[in-house]
Amino acid sequence: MQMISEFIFLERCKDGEGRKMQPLAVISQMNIYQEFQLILALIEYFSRPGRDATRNAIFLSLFGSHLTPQRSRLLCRLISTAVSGSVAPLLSSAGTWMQQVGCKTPPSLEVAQNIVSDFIAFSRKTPEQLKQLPMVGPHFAANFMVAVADLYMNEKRAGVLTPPPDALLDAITEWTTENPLLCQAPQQPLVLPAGAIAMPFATPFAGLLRWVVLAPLVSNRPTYSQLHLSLLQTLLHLVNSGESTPLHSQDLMEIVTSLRKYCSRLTEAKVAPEEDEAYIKCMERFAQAVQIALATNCITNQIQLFCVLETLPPHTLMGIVLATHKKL
Amino acid sequence: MEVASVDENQIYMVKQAQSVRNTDPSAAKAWILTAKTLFPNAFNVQYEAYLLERDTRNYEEAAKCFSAIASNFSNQHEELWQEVHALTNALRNESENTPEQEFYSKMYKHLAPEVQHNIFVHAITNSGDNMQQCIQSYILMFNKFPKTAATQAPRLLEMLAEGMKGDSDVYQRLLVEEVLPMIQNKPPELSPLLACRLYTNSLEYYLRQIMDDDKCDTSEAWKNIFKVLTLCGQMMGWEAFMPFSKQVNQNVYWDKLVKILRGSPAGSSQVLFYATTLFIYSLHGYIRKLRVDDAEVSHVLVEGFLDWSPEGPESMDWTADGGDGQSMEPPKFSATTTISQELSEAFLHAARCWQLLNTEQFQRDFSQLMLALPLAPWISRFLFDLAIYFGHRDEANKLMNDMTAQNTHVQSLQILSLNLMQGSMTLQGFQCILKLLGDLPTTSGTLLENVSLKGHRHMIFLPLTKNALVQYCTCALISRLSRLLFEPSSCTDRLLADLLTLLQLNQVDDDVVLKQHIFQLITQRKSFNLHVLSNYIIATDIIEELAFIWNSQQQDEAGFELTGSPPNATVVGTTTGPAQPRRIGTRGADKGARDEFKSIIRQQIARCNDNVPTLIANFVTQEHLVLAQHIFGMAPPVETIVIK
Repeated sequence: MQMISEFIFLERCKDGEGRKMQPLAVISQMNIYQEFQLILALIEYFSRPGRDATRNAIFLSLFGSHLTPQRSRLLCRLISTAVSGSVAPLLSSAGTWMQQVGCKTPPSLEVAQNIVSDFIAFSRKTPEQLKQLPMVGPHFAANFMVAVADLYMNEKRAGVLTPPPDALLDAITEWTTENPLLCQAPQQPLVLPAGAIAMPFATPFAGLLRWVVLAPLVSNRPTYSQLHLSLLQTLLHLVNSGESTPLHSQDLMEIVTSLRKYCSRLTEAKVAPEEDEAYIKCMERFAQAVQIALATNCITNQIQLFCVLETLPPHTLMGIVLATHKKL
Repeated sequence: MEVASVDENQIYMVKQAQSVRNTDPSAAKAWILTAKTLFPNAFNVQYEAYLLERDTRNYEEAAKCFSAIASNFSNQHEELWQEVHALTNALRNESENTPEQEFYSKMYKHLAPEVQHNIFVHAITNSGDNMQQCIQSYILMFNKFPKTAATQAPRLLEMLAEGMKGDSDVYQRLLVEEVLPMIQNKPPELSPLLACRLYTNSLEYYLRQIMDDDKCDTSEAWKNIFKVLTLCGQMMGWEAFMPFSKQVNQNVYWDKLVKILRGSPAGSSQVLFYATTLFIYSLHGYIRKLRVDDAEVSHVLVEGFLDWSPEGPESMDWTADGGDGQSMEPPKFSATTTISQELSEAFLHAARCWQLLNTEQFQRDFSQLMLALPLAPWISRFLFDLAIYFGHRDEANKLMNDMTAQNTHVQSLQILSLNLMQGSMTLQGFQCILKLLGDLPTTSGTLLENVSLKGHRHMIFLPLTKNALVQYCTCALISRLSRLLFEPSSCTDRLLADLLTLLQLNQVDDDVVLKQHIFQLITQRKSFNLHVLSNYIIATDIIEELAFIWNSQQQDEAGFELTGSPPNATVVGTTTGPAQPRRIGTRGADKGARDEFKSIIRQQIARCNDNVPTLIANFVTQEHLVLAQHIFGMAPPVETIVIK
């Protein structure tokens, strides 16, 4: 690890004490040109034929879970380059890396954020490379969705509901609509070096569902409706895929929390939530998703979820759904 | 709302979906998806899902929904039935290109096969009283699922037979054009009655086609008829007949028929149908050739003439015995035109089949068949010709009245021929001659050979051309008038002159005898009034002969007078003789008259290139009163000349 640090990333300890390296205390000596050369070398290496396990092992060794800011920046640049160049093997390794370090951990989020700013922020239309991503690196694309879903419409993180950029929403909607199996990509077994333990996978369902359910509160873009439908269809597809439970009730709780906050704001404004159109729309989508998730048996901890859902202001469909499933 | 019944919830959700169907289809689909998981057995939810897909022209998904509905909710719902109806309609009219039609066709292709099949079964069972629709559904089903034809075809054929009682045109077309080709390779088992009926119907269909459509490819139609015959034969386990080929001689078919006939019990239906088919085939060939053929000249079967000779006048008398000609050998056909041979063959084949079919074993069934088929115009003509052929005069007379809407030439000729068959010229026959000559066809044609033969009675297929008609009429007149030569009381100068005029037409050996006989008579007379010379006699040989007689008589100083009518007589034919005939004395005293005679002869010889048939026709028309007087001893009442 030290050799990697020293000879590849040209990292030196600030104070020369090499023994106990603290990530933050390490500074890379690379200049931009050397960085560029390194990225090219890595891309070239990963483009060569070889075993997936080896590649993944090397990737994980190069980029662990604790990165210096410079190394993290380099990783982001590397991945963006791979996306724009459609370097499938590198993206596959990157997908594995994301899962191993956790999609919602800061390094993954930084990568996701970086992709968004590189490809989305300055363009109105979705770039071609991004459109192709599910085909080139499905695993990476799915994990990217998990991470990017966490970045937006997340009150817990930002305190307010920030809608995703339109181009990003469009891209993800297109991905899920045209590749119904994409959301299940993380479930595929990882090719890891011997002895490594695969980390639990996360699916983009919960995050994206949060987007569509909460969307009526901040946006009325019709794309959400389409994304919602494709999520429901994807969930229905899952029926065949067995015991996996891609939706945890814990994840849905975030939605409930946001809705509850909204309702309390409504009550303060002396508006009955049952008559607020945005709320009705939210609950409609929420209830549909819950119903389909329940019907396809891909939700955990159902009883707890029911209890929480019942505390929300009533909604016809949610009532029907709850009544149906309580009977069972 | 917790107490709301399941039905109400369904309706609520479907309504929600419907409310956003137009504004937000994705949301509507989300509603329906949810409703499907909540109420998997609700028809209205499933149907709404189908409608959503249908309205977005998403045929693949629509097919899935439709399959689900069709397999879970068959027969119960009006809406489903409407869709099935629309679907089958679209399949039926696959040539149309409306978006709706295209959608249904595409969706159909994505349906599961058993659903496809069920759709047809459904359509069939639900078509109720609408037989045509039901039959259409069967046809569709057979097209898409050929295997079902084996089991279901009898039912369909029964329905077709049933339908034909009402609207035969439509169902015959369906049967022939659509159903039969489908079952051709694997004929189902049917009751003999039904199979025969289907064959009769197909035959009727094709015959109508042949009769009504001038452009119809008849050999194609016959090919099809034979195909259907084979098919029905298979269904009834008959011995196979032969496939149709235009080249095959009818004798081959006949031989095969005879072979089958020998191996079959009396009155067996296979012989009946094979023979009937063969009969109609020959009949069609006969009629077709009679009416128009390559030369586009119709032909009429008429009685041929027999050479009359004073030695054997009784040879013509056999018919006068009362048309009792059965004991006689059947007449032959004269080779008058190129087509005579073919015509007579076709006629004889048809006659042969007709006779077979009118034997006791088939007669009853055959006459029923004939009633069912639209053959009346052909049959009546054929029967008439058959009666003429066998010399059955009374029958022919009766049949004459049945024939309607005939060409006037044909009719006049037939009447004339019928009269001639009776052995002598009648007033009616004479009127027919006048009528024919007064209205000759424009096609000139050629003069025929073998119109008059020695010995045996014979038949002629007379082409309706100007020359042939004139020739036939002339022959009729000559054969009558020539007998008068032997009755001194009626053998006037005028008769001899008229006969000579008529004889100009036929420059054949047979007439030479007659001419010589006439010249002999002229020579025997002391004076001879050649009333018609200047107008009608232009044939060189006759004029030469006359000149010779005149000259030789002059030399002999015998008292011979040859009188010609005035050369510039314009009103000929209105009187039996000119008021003041100029006499040409042969005694040399009247030199001027001699010169005049010479100049007349010169003038006539100059005309020898005139059209003889036209000349003769004019002669008969203009001198008909004189001719009538020869024949009937009196002038026919003028008004009767216009017959019918």
